Formats: sequence, C-alpha cells, structure tokens
Amino acid sequence: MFFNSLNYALFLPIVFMLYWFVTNKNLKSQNILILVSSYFFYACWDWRFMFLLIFSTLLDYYTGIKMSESKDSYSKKFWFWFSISINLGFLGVFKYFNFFATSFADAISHFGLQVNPWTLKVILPVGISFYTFHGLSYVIDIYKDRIKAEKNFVEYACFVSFFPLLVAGPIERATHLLPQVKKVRVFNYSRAVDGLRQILWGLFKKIVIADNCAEFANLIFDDHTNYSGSTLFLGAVFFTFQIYGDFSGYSDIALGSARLFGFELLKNFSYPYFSRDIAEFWRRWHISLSTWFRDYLYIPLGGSIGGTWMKVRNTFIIFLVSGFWHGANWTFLVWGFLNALYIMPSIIFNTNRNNLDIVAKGKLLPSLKDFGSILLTFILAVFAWIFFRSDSVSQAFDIIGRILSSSLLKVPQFRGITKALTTLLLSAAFFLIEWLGRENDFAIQKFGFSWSSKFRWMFYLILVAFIFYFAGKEQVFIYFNF
Amino acid sequence: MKKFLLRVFFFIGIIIVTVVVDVVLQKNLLFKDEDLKLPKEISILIFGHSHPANAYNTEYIQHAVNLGEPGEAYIYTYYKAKKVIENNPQIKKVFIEFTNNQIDKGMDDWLWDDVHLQYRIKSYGVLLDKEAIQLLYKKNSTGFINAFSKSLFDNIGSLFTNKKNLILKGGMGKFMPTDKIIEKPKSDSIDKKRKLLDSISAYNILYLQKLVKYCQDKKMEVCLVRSPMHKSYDVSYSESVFKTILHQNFKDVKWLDNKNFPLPDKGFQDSEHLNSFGAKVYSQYFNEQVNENSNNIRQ
Repeated sequence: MFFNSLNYALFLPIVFMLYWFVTNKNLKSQNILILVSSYFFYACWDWRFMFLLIFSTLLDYYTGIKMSESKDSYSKKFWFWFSISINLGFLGVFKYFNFFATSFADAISHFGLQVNPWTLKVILPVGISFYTFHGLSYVIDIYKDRIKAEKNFVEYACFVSFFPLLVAGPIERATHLLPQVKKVRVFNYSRAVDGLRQILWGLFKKIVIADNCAEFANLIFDDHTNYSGSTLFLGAVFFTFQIYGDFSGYSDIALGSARLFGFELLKNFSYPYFSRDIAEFWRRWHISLSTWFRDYLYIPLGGSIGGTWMKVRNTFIIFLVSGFWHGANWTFLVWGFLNALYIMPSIIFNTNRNNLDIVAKGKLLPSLKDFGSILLTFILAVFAWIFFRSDSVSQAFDIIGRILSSSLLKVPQFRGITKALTTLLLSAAFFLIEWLGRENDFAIQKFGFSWSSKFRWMFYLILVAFIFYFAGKEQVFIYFNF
Repeated sequence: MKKFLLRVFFFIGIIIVTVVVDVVLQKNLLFKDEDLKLPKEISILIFGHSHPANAYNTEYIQHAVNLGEPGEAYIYTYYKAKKVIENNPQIKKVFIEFTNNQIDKGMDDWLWDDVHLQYRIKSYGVLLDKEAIQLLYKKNSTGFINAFSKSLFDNIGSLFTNKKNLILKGGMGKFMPTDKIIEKPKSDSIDKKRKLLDSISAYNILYLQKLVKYCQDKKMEVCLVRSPMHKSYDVSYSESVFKTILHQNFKDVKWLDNKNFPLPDKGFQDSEHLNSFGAKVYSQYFNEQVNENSNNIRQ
C-alpha cells in the first residue's frame, strides 16, 4: 500500500475514525488498533514477510527484557550480541548476501578462477533496513542503560511497526517514540490540521515533483551514451529533484499521518538543498539516519575525540557504512566515499558546525556569499547523486566524463523537452515555496497564514488541482528499495 | 474533533462537487446529441486504428465517414460507435478494421497504459459505462485516475469552444492524409523478425465482439475489413491465430480481406499504412466494393 494510492486514501480515514471514535481515550485499545492496522498495512505488501517483522520484534522485545534482568555483565553482553548478530544476520542475508557472493566471484575471476556464485532468489523484504534499525537502537540503548526494557509487548511492537514509519522511516528512537506510545493520545485540532497540510505537501512533492522529474531522469540515465554533457547534467539535476521530492515527500506524508493520530515523529528533512556546505547538507538530509549513525556508530568509534586523524577515520567509516546501508552496490559505497571526501575539508579545518541556523534567517533573500555557497553545495550534491542513480560505477564515471566534456555547452536535447520545461517550471515554483517556508517544519506549515482563510483554502485547492493535473507516471518510492 | 471533521468534509466536498459538475457538463455539453449528427446521406461508418485512418479517403467513398483513430483499442471504438450510431439512425453499414496487430497482447497497452489512457479518457471518458471504468481501473488504477483528472481540466476549455459537428471536425477520428512514401525495403530488412504470437489481447477481441453484436442488434450490416499492407509486412507471425479467431469468434460476420490489394510502393508511407496516393486508389476500389456491388464482400 503506497502512501500515494487510493488504498491508503481509504485506509487512513478508516483507521482515523476507529482510532478517535471507537478507541477514544483508552490507551490499550488505541495501541492495539495501531498495531493491527500497522500489520495490515505491512501485509498489503507481502504477508509472508510479516513473520520476519514479528520475529524481529519478538527477538528485540525478548532480548531487551533479558538484558534488563541480567545480573552480570557477561549475561547482558551475551543477549546484546545475540540480538545484534541475528538482526544484522537477517539484514545481511536478505540485503547483502547476493552482493557479497557475486563480488567474491568477480574478485576471484581476476585470478583466473571461474565460479558461478550461489545467490538467493528472494525479494528484499520492504522496510527491513528501517525496522531493523529501530530494533537495534532499542537494544543498544538498553545495553548502554539509557532506557529500561519495555515489558508491554503491544507498546513495544507499536514502536517498531507504527505504519507511517514502518517501511521507509523516519528511523525512530525508543527514547523519543516509546514515551508517546505509553501515553494516551488526545485529539488536538491544530496538530491534526498541521498533519493534513503536511500530507498534502508530501503528496505534491511526490506526485508532481518527484514522479515528473523521474520520467526525465530515467530517460536520460537509461540511455546515457546517446546524450550530450548538458543533457546528462540536466538528467542529474532531475534526479536530484526527484530523490528529494520522493523521499522528503514520503517523510512528510509519514509525519503528517502520525500527527493525525497524535504522534510527533522525528524530522527527516530540513531543506537540504539550501545548505551552504556539505556538513550542513548532512544535518538536513535524512536526519533520522544521519543522527542514528552519529549516535550508534560515530560516537562509539570515538567521534571527534582523539584528534584530526580519528575524526577523519570515523567520518569515512560512517559515510561508507551509510552508503552501504542504502544498498548492496558499489555505486552506493562510492557515493558514501564521495560525500566523505566532500566533508573532509570542514572536518580537518573544524568548520563543520559553521552553518547551524537556516540560511538567511528572517530575511527574504540570501547574501551573495550564501547564494554562492548554496549553489556550490547543490552542484556537489548533483555529482554525488550521479553515483547513487547509476547502475554501475563505470556508468557513473562515464556520465561524469561526458558532463565534463565540451558537449556541456550544447543545448540539451531529448524527447519531451516541452514537458521537461513544464517540470522545471513546477520545480522552480516548488523550491520558491520551500524557500519562503524554510523556517518551518515543512514549507506550507504556515504558508498563507496572513491571508484570509478563503485565499488559504484556495491555495490548498490549487495544490490538490496540481496534484491531479500534473501527476507524473507513478514511481515506486525510491527508499522502499532500501 | 467536530470542527475538524466538518472542515475536512467541506474541503473534500468542494472537490467532489467540482468534479461532478465538470463531468455533468462534459457529458451534456461536450457530447451533445446535435453535435454528433451526421448529414442524412451518410450511411456508412468506418472504424479502427491508424490503418483505416490512413486508408479510407471518404472523398472517394460515397455515403461514408471515416472514424478511424490511430492507437485506438476496440473498447474505445465500442463506446464511440454506440454514441454515434445512437444519434444517426440512418447508418446502414459499419466497417471495422480487423488486422493482425489487433489481436496481439500488446494491444492491452492500447487499452490501459498511461499514455493511451490519457488520450482516450480525454476523448471518450464520459462515454464509458461502469463496466469499462471498472475494467480500466482494475488494470491501471493510478493511470486511470491520472487520465480522468487530467481530462477534467483539459476538457473544460473544450466546453466553451465551438464543437459543432464534432464528428465531421475529426473530434472522433478521421482520415489522415500524408504524402510520405515508404523507403525501398532492402531484401534483408523485410519484417520477418517478429516473434510468433504467443498470447492474445482477450479484452481487445471481447470489445470487438461487443461492437459487432451492438451493430447486429441494431440491424446494421457489419463487416470486418483488413486494409492493404505492404508486401514487406510479414503477417506469418500471427496469421494462423488471427484466422482462428476470425473463424471462431466472428463466423457470422462478413469479412473483407484487402490485405493484398495491388498497390505500388509509392502508395505506402510504411509497411502498414497507406499514404494519400495509396488511399485515393484504394478508396476508389473500396467504393466500388461497398457501394456498387456488395456481393464482393465475402461471407
């Protein structure tokens, strides 16, 4: 069940009505309904993988309790590693086994040995990377004595499986979400309206921006050898818009849906393409994953303590792991490596926390320097996304080589250029609204608040009209593949 | 909560009312009965996809109108034909193109892929009935919703423009003349690379059957016709299946096979389509077939 499907448009109001009218003000009933509807939501993809989700939930629930009850550190450590190894084991088998098998075969073929690697013929269970990371953070937090193990299975399962975040995040923390699960939710008008606004904006991002940009990104990347440097660069820009519209749109719908049920999820995006350097970009892109790696990998590795060399080493490690988290392909590893390279100057010269506030706060326009920095950061991001989007590293290098050739100066040419121009105009309007609303949680959170309600409603209706009229060819959410 | 629900219902209500008003306007204004009236002397209709759209120049065929439309699957032809026939009781004969590619599984794309849906729903969306809507929605729900929503906007403009004589203005298909001439086929480029047909488009054939039955129920003379094709177009990939379908599903329907009508290369724009010259020569012949000696049409 996609967030942008008619099924979800039916599912959401039905669960909403049951939640507020049938289970109203009864914590146990609220949580049971959340859990049942979340499992139903997940089973709509493939009911067989429900068992994996339930097993993973039971595993972390049980090991959490066992760790809490452990009298000695040996026993605690045992249950901790037991949970970690099974969680990572599942992830490894379903997500990385084929990659390692084929990479091994490729590697030994260089020594003249030919083997046909045995690969698994299974599809990747949707959301496995996300719910595994939910569970891992929970187990690590218990091991580090940051939280106590949850005794109520339904409440713990709600934390892991809450349907808005189940398949593509945001990656929640027990410290943030579990306390909300344990408290009865009371309907709040402003929060619910905010949630609807965020869903509307998320749908606009996904259906109008991402799906339309995808058409041209796919067209150009899939046949890259036939295009000039300028067309390929434009293709990379289309993908840059697509992935933002796609993933941040998904996150907006997730956060908005959660708000309808009285939950506040972790913010996942904060206008990353208005960043002035790569460090700021990574504080604003897929925030829940970046902070997860910061807290559960970077800091345990020593973080920024221990001198420049340690910082450099740890930064490379988290970017490589982050790249690998996205998928079992060398392209993601190179993408992570490239981002680590980008961020290196600010790590070495200790300028990575120079831009903590949103750009041009309280002003309409950025300074010339900020504008230049935003443009440079954006272009760096575009080049990195080329690796992310390409099927292979060699394809990515080929595309970059063509972009950096004299054909960059040619006028871009490809099929459907009129529609592409419309898409670019829509994207420009979209980024203008994002710019105007950049100090809020999402761009239209307070957009038009100074207008009369009639005009504000008109604006929302226009957004709906745009969603229907400019709907691009439906694309699967990119992050469902991870 | 009450305030929230009221506002949400009001917002959704505005959208629903707008859509309903738009559909009603389209249904009543875009396909007004008087706009679908043909001149009284017209008694022959020709339907089908790009083959007939390029082959039948009705300047040379008496009493006929060519409503062939490139890329049109039979489901759309069916609803279009019904609407035209309802408004023109003088119609006596209906010719429907039936050729090899129309049985191919690839025709399913013409029925419900995103691109075709957008064209067809815009043109004939309001003519579809519940059964057709259910089928198209089941096969491509997102594509159908997208096409339907786009048609709501796109057709608003048409409501206020002069659409009199929708048929004669080509609003439901037309003859499409072109002067392009087929490139001389090299001996090795003869189209023999097509794979043998392994599956058929059951829905396309089903709607052809419905169309035939509808015409028969209206006591009209129905004839399936295969327009001329260039010798380089090799039909062997599907001919036996095609003939089986023809004999099994349309055994009581007249069949006019003009595939091998002798036309020089300069009469074709490509291996499947005639150009203006070819259409003129063929249409003159067709006129003789259908208007002067209807015995030429074989059972």
